[in-house]
Amino acid sequence: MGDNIRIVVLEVKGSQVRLGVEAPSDLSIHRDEVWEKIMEENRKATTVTPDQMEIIVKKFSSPRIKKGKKDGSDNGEKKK
Amino acid sequence: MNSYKTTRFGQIPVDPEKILRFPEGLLGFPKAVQFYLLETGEPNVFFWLQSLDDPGLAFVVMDPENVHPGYRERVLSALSDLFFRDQEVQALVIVTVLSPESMTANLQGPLLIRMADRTGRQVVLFEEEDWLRYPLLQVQESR
Repeated sequence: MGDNIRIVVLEVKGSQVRLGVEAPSDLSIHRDEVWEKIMEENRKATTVTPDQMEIIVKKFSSPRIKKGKKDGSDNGEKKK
Repeated sequence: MNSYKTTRFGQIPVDPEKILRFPEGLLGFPKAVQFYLLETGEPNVFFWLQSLDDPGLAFVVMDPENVHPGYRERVLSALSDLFFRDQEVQALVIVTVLSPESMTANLQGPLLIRMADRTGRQVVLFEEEDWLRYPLLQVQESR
């Protein structure tokens, strides 16, 4: 991966592999960790089933999440 | 209308005009470049983001304004990305469901879509680490 950057395997746990990045700058290590976390979160998010979603949608029909107050300030973010 | 076979929803009708394109894929899914939004039911807070490249790949997404009003403006003003400059942009965030009682939205890695050509990418906000798992439902009082 370019000059001076090495990917190393830190840990193998079940089907998960923790990777480390060896790079000259602290910043890029930090950035790669953040990328890694987002990828992991993406992967975790793919397991939802329609049955689960049905339960969730029912729960949300009694409003529980805070809706943005529409104080007449129009932000036309809704699309058709 | 075309039609596409999915694992979760069977055959779905697909309007080619409404396909969302992520030329770089999503993080960890570089080959998933075409997606389609499906409703999950009322109220329309959540949507399925169904891949049109992998029948088994679907995410639950929501408009982040539902949990964090002003989110989109904040993100867009922090981005130095020319791709989105002076564009009408829709933001979606991916929802992680550990159980129906425990859901989080990934506000750190939103999907931004340029509405003019329905093309987008997943961006990473490096400064907002507590946004990775933004809680949607915390305590369920019915027990």
